[in-house]
Amino acid sequence: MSSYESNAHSATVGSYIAGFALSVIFCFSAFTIVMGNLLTGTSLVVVLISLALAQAFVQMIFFLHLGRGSHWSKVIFLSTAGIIFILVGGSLWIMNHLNYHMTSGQMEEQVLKSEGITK
Amino acid sequence: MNEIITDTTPSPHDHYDKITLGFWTYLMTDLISFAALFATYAVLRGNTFGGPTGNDLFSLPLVLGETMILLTSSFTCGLAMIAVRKNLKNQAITFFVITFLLGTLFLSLEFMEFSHIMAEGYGPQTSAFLSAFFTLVGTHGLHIAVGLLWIVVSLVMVWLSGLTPFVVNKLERLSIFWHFLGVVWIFIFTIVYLLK
Repeated sequence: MSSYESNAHSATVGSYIAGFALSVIFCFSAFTIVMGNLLTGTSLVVVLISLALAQAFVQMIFFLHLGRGSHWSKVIFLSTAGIIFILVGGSLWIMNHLNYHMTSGQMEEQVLKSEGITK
Repeated sequence: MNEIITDTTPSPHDHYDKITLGFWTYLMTDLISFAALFATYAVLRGNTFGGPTGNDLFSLPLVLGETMILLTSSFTCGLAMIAVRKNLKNQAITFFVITFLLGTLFLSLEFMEFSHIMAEGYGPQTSAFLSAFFTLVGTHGLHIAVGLLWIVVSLVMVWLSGLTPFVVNKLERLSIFWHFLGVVWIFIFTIVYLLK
């Protein structure tokens, strides 16, 4: 049996309802946390990103059936995830460093002093 | 139905498998463009140039509504595909029409939000933050618009030629596209609207 066939027959109404219910729970939790000001700072970022990743995982398994189709779709997805990690993580990393080194004149003076440059 | 197809191609399922995999590969490249837009937004979100921040402009109840509508449309699209696989033509058409209506509602709400922000005088040219915002959310909206057009074209095909393997494979790709847009939206409502 080809993967197309197995893919086509394995999806049930139950699995879509489960995926939908889980997604609604994750999504409402995220909005409740923000609208009720339940968390702040780093913990807010960590919790919201975790909820988003959990919901994305649920929708990819229950709606997109990733993992049940061909082996190559998983390989391509994982390579893409790697590229995205480098692209987004790298951009944030570089730009934060740039901001750190460029923000104030005080910082510039410090750099000039440590490098032994006089204006 | 299967006999006709096996006469023309030796292994139709393998053939359709390859088409679906090719489409999946395209979607993954599309995901990389979304990732680039997300990175741009994350870098520029603080650069408001004295203009409004996300806190001043976004309405969370509206976004929650949009999110629920899109999530439900993803669900009805899945139900439509179950009907397609069971060869229930009318049921499939009904669920695709519901998906289309929900998608249209989502897009109208997004359009409303955009025109509301622009009516206050804060267009994409206001600040780097708003340029990044309109580009990221607008690109997703554009994809939704393409998906809606795709649903209409597919419904015409189903109506004209019925659920042939050729049409079923097209619907398969349409549903993958629609579910994909649902997954991208999760990150938009989290990163753009909730982490403002």
